[in-house]
Amino acid sequence: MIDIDGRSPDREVTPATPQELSQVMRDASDSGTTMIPVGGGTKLLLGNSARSAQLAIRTRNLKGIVEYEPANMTASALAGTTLHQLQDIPKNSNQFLPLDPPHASQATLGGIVACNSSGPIRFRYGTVRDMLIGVRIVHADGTPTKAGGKLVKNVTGYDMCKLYTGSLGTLGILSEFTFKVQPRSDTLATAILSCASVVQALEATQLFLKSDLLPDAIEAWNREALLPLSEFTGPAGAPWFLMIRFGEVEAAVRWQLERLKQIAPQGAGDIVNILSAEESEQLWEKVASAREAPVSREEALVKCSVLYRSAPETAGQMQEIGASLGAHTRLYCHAGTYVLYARYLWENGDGRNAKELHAALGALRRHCQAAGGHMVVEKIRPDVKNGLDVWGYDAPALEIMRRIKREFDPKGLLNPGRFVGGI
Amino acid sequence: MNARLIEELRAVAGEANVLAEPEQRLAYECDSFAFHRHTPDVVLLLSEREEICRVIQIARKHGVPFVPRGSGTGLSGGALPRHGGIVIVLSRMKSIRQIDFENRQAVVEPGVINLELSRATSPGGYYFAPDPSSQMVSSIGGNLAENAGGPHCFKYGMTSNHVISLEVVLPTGQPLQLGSRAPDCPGYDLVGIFVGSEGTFGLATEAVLKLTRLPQAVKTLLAAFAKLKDACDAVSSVIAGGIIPAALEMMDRRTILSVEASVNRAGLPTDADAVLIIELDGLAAALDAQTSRIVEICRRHQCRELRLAKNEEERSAIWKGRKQAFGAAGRMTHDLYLQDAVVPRNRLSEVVVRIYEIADRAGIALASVFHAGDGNLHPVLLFDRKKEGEEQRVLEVAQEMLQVCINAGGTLSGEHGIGSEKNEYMNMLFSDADLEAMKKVRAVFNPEDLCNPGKIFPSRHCRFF
Repeated sequence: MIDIDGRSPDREVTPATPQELSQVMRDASDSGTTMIPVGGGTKLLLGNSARSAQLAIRTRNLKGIVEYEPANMTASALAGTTLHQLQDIPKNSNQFLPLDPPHASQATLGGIVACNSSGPIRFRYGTVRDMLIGVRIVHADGTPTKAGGKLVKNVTGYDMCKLYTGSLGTLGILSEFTFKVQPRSDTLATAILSCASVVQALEATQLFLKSDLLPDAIEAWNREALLPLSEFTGPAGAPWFLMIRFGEVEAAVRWQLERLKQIAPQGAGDIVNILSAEESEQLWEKVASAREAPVSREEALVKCSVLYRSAPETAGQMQEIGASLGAHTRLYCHAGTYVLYARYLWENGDGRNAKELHAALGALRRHCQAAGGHMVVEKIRPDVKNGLDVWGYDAPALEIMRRIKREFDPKGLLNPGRFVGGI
Repeated sequence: MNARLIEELRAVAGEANVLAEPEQRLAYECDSFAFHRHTPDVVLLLSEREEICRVIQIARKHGVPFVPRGSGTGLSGGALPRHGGIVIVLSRMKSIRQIDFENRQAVVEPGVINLELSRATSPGGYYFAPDPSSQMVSSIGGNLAENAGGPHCFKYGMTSNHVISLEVVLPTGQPLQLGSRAPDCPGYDLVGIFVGSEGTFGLATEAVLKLTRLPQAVKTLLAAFAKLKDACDAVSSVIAGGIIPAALEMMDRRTILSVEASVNRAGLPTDADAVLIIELDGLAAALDAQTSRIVEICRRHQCRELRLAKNEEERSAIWKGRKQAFGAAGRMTHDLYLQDAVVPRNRLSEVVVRIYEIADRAGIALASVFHAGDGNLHPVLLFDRKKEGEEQRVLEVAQEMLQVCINAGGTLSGEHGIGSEKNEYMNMLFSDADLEAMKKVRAVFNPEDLCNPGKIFPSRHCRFF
């Protein structure tokens, strides 16, 4: 049974082909039934509560690799394929889809694209928008369309792939994708550095960014966040850690580790451990899922995205808010891109009431917006969602977004109310 | 065009910035796609966002179309005032407002010349990666509108991968901020859909662009092949081998000869059927291993000469020859038609061979210089417009080539855009339902279809036909 913010859709269907999906949606549209697309179910809590959720449309049976062409460096797959299933196919050819969102074994490509999920390696490879080159989608009234193709370079018509990426199933249900894939690095290595504060961690990062180093990812996490992964950090205890991943040919990975040793600021970013390729694989798989690893406690997950100058202060605020709410605060910062996640965890009985949470999160949002950034509440208790806009987006461009929604879904049947501005 | 409208425009833009005399307007009758021409009724040289808003309001009041224009280097008629009206030229808006190395961003006005941005940022160790061959003259605004490519987008992506946020004036005259400088702006990716909309969604008045770190090291190889097909197969093998050079370009024999006969001669082997320019960049420690893999692949495909540029001078000479190849081709003939099509890289050699067969059969001389690594073909058809029926024949042959590309899973344009050149071909690729989805977005941004009308969509989907 699907549970979205404490509520289950009245019915669910699991179409097995894009044609069935189209038929299901046409019928739903004709009868004015609201539709909730569901992929692997790992992001059900993302977005505002739906105004109505009559029919869950599950894409998990729309799965399989449609075509994989190593000599074109593209892979096409149906939307219900999990990221793991896609990564398994190109394994022998040394190519991969460079996305590392949480839960690669459960998350479907459809969900990843619709939610614009990403992870640490976005620092080097970008996000979905940088690799999605073709889509098939079924619109609210059941009409299937396509855009893009299997070409890495394509300016034939509007770039609809960009519009659908991150649209949270509000413009249609995506049924098939073509991605540009990338070569796997010959080898990986990871350096772990200890820092006294987030300021120190981000300053060290800035130093590395100005150097010749070309890392795959730079993560700055607080101790609380790294506790579940302490086998990788070595015996050193520190308030903050930097994890820097390098992927390249052997000689270039070795060179970068040497260079890092030369420039790492002593006492403000000491290297405490260096991980082999195999250990790196294990670490980064865990790193990708850590912020959404299942827990039995009450939790909230908040994402702030800002610019360099305001990143340390934002991280500080995220931590303070956790303290004021009596929560354990795990901070996961993409240090090179300034996308920061805070996961608040409460011991049983410590959870705060909605009013308190609204006030604290409101203050954090105002801080981010004043700095030109954003704050999105990715996960929170259903009762707290009432009276809270998890997206907090009210820029003038919202009017254009609403009109796009009206053009594509005039009856407002797809994921109603879950996206920005009540879309 | 009525005198009253001209007066209103003069009041907004200032007398000197309104070009209304026939000989002034004639210069704006086409962009670099000279097959289609239409003289605009009036041309405005604007330099402020507020002026643009007011001009658009005036145009709407009079129901007159308006067309944005940058440097006019577009190759698909994007800046063609197809139905007359006002051409709004933004090349005076050329200030680089801010360079922000900490966030690897630059804030620029639309008239900034592509190469000027890299010149301004390279002392700090950064550059703007998209590098269309026209980069010495083409403007950022035009690059955004067309989602421009270039040799190095093989590794670094197209213009759209390097645009962070935009300030635009919509076709309703309303200024609007799209996206944000901070990452992951919530909502639909309006920046993504605006880039590449070929001037039909309004005018960008400011862009925040991503800056890319200058590579620590660069190696440029020239590989000569006796057979064009071998060169194409080598390209497919490089890609299948999991190597991403910074650029992977091909020139055919006719292009080599014309470059070598021009002032930009690059010392290319004139007895080769095809040369590949293969550029690797990144960490110095990585390049040796990659270079030897590439050398091995080229040899396996009967490469008969491999040359490594020994210094920056040799490298520049190679690139100058490549980037001016189109201009050099102009010396071979009276007229030329530059086609832009893309095929999946695994189908490269069969399609290229087919394209030469089509040209041979039609008796049309073909020169080819293209972004092989992206599967982005640029056959150049050489002809003489003065010969009766020749122009029509060339267009038919070019369309036949497009059909071959599409049959192989390719598309109509990789980087030049659809514009007025290929709008009638859109149904070769897209169903009406596919086009309807795109039209829904146009209906939101450009509800009256006054902004750059007659582009992208087949004429029956456009208001002005």
